[in-house]
Amino acid sequence: MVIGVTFDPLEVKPVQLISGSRTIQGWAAGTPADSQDTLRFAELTGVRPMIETYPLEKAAEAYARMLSGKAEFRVVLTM
Amino acid sequence: MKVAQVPKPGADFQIVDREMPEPGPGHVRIKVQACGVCGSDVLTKEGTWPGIQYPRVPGHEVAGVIDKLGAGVSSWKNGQRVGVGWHGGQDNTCPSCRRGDFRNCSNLKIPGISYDGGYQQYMVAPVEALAAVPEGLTDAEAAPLLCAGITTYNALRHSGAMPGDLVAVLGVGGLGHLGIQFANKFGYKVVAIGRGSESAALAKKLGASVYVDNRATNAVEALQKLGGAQVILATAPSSKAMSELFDGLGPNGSW
Repeated sequence: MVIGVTFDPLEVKPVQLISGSRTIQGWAAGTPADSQDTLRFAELTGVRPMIETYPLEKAAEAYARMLSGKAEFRVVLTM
Repeated sequence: MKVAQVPKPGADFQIVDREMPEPGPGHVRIKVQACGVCGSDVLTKEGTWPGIQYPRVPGHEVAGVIDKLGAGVSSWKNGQRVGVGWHGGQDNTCPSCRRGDFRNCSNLKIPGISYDGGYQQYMVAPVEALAAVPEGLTDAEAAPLLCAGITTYNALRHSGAMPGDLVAVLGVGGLGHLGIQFANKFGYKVVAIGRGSESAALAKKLGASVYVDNRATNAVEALQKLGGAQVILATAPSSKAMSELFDGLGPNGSW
């Protein structure tokens, strides 16, 4: 399942797909009902994002931190 | 109220004061408590998504509390905790919606792109964009689950992998660290694949049985030694890394 967004082509030969009858599939997020399932499952099982928080006033800094790829792992603005 | 807006494509963020927005029919106003900063906010910041009207407030990982109900809203209450993710509303009339496939609505609205998102103190959203936030999660925890979380959770639960199957997660980052946790809780045997040895301890703590440093080890061989992956969740934003890993799939595997 491909969920990492890129704009360069994937290089896979047809023979790689045919051998083993393998598939490539992309996936986009989901509906708000799926979001609710995600939140409830996370609550139930203890899955949590690792976050770095910034105040709203520092949106530019928070955005730059996200772009740097160095955040561990999700940047969150708090109001 | 304060908002962080993008005045025009490619311009720097501005913090400005605005009038409080009023919720129209079928909409609610949310007092935003937290909003995730996602890679796809670049689409708004740089204007790469077509048709955005500026100034625009980005943000589609929103957690907060309903502050005011618009006319005709009966299924949500003032004071209720809600979240808004990428799916910011469907048109209910396109061929996909008529088949109940709202996710693929051809006029899907996206917060922060189609209308002002969560980088502000109050935002207005249509009711079809709302998800209830459970008690056990803080707002700051819930926010990233509304895009990064749902994407990994929903992809995995539709992947066809069964408990006990070998599932590889490529990338230990914003998406991958959630993908590893969900995959572990779904009962898969999780192989995390990252660059360098420094992610190994974290990947195992998050629930990976095996960590493969694909700088030092051939990840395809490592997966094939374990029987081949039923699913590879490709989170690392690198087409090259994804392509190189394809042969790590087992028979009938999905990638």
